[in-house]
Amino acid sequence: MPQPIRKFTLALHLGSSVGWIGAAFAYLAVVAVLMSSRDLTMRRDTIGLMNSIDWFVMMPMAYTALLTGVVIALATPWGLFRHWWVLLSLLLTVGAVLILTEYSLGIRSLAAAIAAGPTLDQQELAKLNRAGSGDLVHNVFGLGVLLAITVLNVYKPRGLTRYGWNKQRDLRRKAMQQRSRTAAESRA
Amino acid sequence: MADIHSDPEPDRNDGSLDRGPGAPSWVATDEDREKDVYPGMPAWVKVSGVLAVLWFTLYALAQGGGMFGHM
Repeated sequence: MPQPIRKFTLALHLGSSVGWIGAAFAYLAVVAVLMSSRDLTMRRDTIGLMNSIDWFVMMPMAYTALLTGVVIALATPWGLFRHWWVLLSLLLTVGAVLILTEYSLGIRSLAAAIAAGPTLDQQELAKLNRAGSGDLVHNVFGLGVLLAITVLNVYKPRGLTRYGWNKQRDLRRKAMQQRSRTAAESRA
Repeated sequence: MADIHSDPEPDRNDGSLDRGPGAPSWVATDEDREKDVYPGMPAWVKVSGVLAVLWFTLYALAQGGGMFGHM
């Protein structure tokens, strides 16, 4: 991949990753409002806001971060399965994206029920009353995963997977063969 | 005054595996390369793996425990 495109993809990856983490922290404040308020109108509005943050900020940021991360890994010698830190980051990101998607679908159905009419049935009302602690758990667990991925990406700890080690060994052998061929040609 | 924008390890995000002068510290050492045996999974991966499994298990338990009002 040409360097300008790689740099642009990297900028996109960093921007979306930081945006995802920022949105997750902002979400924490919204969840705090949901947990502290007993007013039904406020709780309904807060669910609507959470739905908007989920679908217009968090989900696009999460999928962009995953996609650009995979592109950068595949387009550079890092690879996707060669280094443990890349593989672990990938697994954690995929897990976080799947859980976020499942969670966002749940929020959307509740927000849709709220938007559909001024009155809620008993089941929806019970869901609205229960909302809060579960969202906090989801948010805190998600932030933990995102911060762990950040640490992995900044420190890039050493360690090759067996696949990466074999790949590196093959590359070294090819380079050595090339060198000895060149040396033999220059002698001849 | 040092330039705060300069990268002490040039272009560390290109995944370069070269250990020439100024090469990043996380690539394999020459000693590693001389050995022709896979060194195995590093300890930090084992610890991180266990922590990750524990983290997701705790999350699943919290979810199964009815803490998720929207699910």
